[in-house]
Formats: sequence, structure tokens, C-alpha cells
Amino acid sequence: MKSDIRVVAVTGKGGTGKTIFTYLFAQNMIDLGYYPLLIDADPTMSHLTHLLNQKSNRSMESVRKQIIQVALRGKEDENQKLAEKIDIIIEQSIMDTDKYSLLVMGQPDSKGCFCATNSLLRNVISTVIQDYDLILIDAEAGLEQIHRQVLGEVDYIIIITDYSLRSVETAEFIAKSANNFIGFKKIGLIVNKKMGDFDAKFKDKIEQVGIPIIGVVPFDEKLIKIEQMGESLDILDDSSVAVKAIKRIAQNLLETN
Amino acid sequence: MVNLQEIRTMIEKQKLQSPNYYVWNCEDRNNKPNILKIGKRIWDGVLLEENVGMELGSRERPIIKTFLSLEDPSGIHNLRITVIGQDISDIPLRRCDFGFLMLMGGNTISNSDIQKIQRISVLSHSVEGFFEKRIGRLSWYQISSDLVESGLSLFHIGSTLIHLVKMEFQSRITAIEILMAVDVDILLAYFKKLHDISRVESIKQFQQKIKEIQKLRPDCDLEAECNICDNRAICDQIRDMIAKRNKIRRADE
Repeated sequence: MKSDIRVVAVTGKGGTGKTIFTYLFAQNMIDLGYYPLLIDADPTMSHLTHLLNQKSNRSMESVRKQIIQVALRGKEDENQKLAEKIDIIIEQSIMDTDKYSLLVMGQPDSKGCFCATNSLLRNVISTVIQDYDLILIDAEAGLEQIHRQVLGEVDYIIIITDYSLRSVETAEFIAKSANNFIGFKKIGLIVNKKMGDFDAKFKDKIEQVGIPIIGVVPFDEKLIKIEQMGESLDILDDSSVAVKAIKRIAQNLLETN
Repeated sequence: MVNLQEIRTMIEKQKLQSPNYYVWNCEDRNNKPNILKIGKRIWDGVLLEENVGMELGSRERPIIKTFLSLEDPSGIHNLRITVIGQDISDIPLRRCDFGFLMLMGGNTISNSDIQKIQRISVLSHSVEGFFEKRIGRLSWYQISSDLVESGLSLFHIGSTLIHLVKMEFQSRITAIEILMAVDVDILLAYFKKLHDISRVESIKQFQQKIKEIQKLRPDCDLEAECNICDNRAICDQIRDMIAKRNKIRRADE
């Protein structure tokens, strides 16, 4: 992905495994020499942050609240000061480790539109992240949130589906709405937690939806057990079928883009 | 798309087939019934069932109201009212099926203008002794016995509609014409068809507009309707902050 693919958003129906995929995909990219910026953009709960065993000091939502508070007070000097330091505030909100950086969006709790705040955040985020050669966004099912609060455009939308028709239907909906909400160059589908062969109905549905399959991740009992026990995913090694499959997907993406 | 020539052909055909038809210019006749008062919110009264002398349309068969705007006004017979069927005084029963088609010309008539025209065409408060009963979008006219006896004609209803629209839009609507149908099933069905076509077109236009707005402003929860947003003042402050921040960045670069 040294070419034109820099910003990758991972999305899909809830429960399909998009956060675990993002995590394992990021690990692979780190192993391949990337220093990615991971954006935890799931507003319901910061699962990625949790998987990475990190605690966010400051989410973008808290910055958003701060901007709104200043605007509410309507004091000229405060407004000026925040304008001067907003880039620094957001830069400082990005958590750096020796392997990756992490930006947490947080759960929106300011009721109302405040679309100007989103414009401001988007502008600043796009400036602050310009030095990263890979930005990986763990998103919620819809892409509106990314566009509203993170970035105006992504390069690659990866939609995760499991082996269920409902999940593929959600993927179809996401792909359709992507055109309305976000600019993108490529879109691909990953079938996660695959068990056995695809039946005809599932195949037909995938074909009808028309999103190219860029990878299949088999159901991995090891992974499920680790999740059940609440252990770190770091103990997964190449004996995990999911890890192997995601490694192949990462390599394919690197070779074909 | 609606074809004016097709409408003309239909009207001419119905004129030949119907024993009654009338063509008036709304400025020609001034023989208003003595008790008729017309104007915006002229009458706040209600009409009791026992005072109803005539119903145009009914609960079961509501009035078909179709409003069409055409960019080119040249084909519209300005201020003309055409009625296919009997006028009020000649309708033997106290009720009839009724519908009208209003043709308007002017290149700046938008969908929201059409909606406004639909609202002002509700005649309840604009004509004394005239009540428009409504159930949702469906409506029918009830006219008082006094008004019927004093010689109310469809000419007056047509010219009132024209008058109200012209008063609201003045020079923006350069030509306006009304075609009415009284108990002419085929023509009423035709008006309904035109109504459905124009409604589908306006829904399509509206959906397209929403799509365009979403592309322009996908960050806005109110579909870019900042004018109705309670937080507009706050956003204005933030926009000011954005301008300041961008100025600082430009200076740094």
C-alpha cells in the first residue's frame, strides 16, 4: 500500500468481527514495517482501544465539547486562543506508542448538529495525520460517522461480513450509502468466521451485491477461546487460521495496490 | 413530463362531447353575488350542515386539485377559466364530482412555491360562505345556500383562485389558467393522472435535492437546514474559529 491507498476504513454489521480484524490487520502491517495511525471511530464503545490495552486520555469528542463550550461563551479572546492551539490539542490527543499511534473518537454526547465543529475537527485531523503512511479506521456500521467527525475521504473501504445473509445485506447497504457520505477509491468485502463451504443462496447474494471479495477468514476456535477468556490477542501466532488468513489479505492488498 | 398540447387536445375533445362548457376570462365578469366577499382570511366562520346549499366533491370523492408549472408561459391562456360540465346554478343535485387543473407559467416557480399555492388554494377563509372540508390532503367544498342562491358561479371560484395566487406571487407567475371539470369522469381521471405524474416528479426532484445536499454537507444532521437549527449561532462562532485557525496556518506556511 505504498501507492495511492493510505486511508483504510474497516466497517460492517455489528458482531462480524471488524475490530478484531482491524487489530490483526494492523499487527500485520506493523510486522511489515508500517507505523500506522489507528483511529478508533466506533462511537458506541472503544473496542479497538480496549483490545490494544490502551486508555485514551482525550477523545475527539472531548475536544468537540471544548470547542462548543468556547463557542457558547462567545468570547472573542477565548475563540482566538482556541483557534491558535486547536491543532496542538488534537496532536496531543493522538497517543503514540513504539509501534503505532492511536486516535480515539469517543462517544458523541453533545446533542444537536454543530456541523461546524465537525468541519473544524475534520480539517485539523486531516492536517495532523498527513505524515502517516497508513491510517486504519475501525468504524461503526455506517460511514456517516467517519465523514462527520474524522475524514472527508478514505481510500479503501473494507466491509466485514460474516457467513449470514443479513450481514451481507448490511454490507450492501453500507456500500450504497458510501457513495452519499464519503469519497473512496476502492471497496472490498471480507467474509469473516467462515465455516464449511458457502451455500448457493449465500453465493448468489454475494454475487448480487457485487462487492468484490478480497479475502475470507475462517472461523477460528483459538480466537474465540481467547475472546471468551478475555485474554490478549497478542498470544495468537501463526498457528491461528484467522491470523494466517489476515496475513494473506494484508500481503494481497500490498501487492495489488 | 407533462405535455401542454396533450392537455389542450383532451380539453377540446371533452368540449365536443360535453353538452355544457364555459370559457371565461377572469377579468371580464364583475357580477359578483352581493354577499360574496373574497380576500385573504376574510371569513373565519364555519358552515353548518343545514346551511350547506352545494357540495363540490365529497368525502367519498374528494376534489382533484392539480397544479402544474410550465417554464414557457406562451401556451397558457392567461386568466382564462374553462369549465367542462355544468355551472353551479345548473347542477340538479346538491353535489357533484369536481376537480381542477391550474396551469402556471414562470421560470422561477419552485416545488416549494407549488406547495405554497396548494396551501393558499384552500378557500375556507378566503370566501365568505365557502368552506373547504379537509381530511389530511383530501378536501371538498361546501357552499352556503345563501351563496348558491345569490348566483355563485364556478367563474367566481376560478377567479378567486387566480386572484389569491396572483396576489401572493405577483409578477413571478406570468400566466395562469384554470381548467375545471364537473361530473366528467374521464377528465377528472385525467387530472388525477397529471396530479400523480407531477407528484412523482416533485418527489424525485426532492430526493435528488436531498442527495445533492448530503453530498455537499454530509456532516449536517439537519440535511443542511442551518436556517432551522437551534445551534446556528454557536456554529457561526465556530466558523469564525475555523477562519482564524486557517489564517494562522496560512501565515505559518
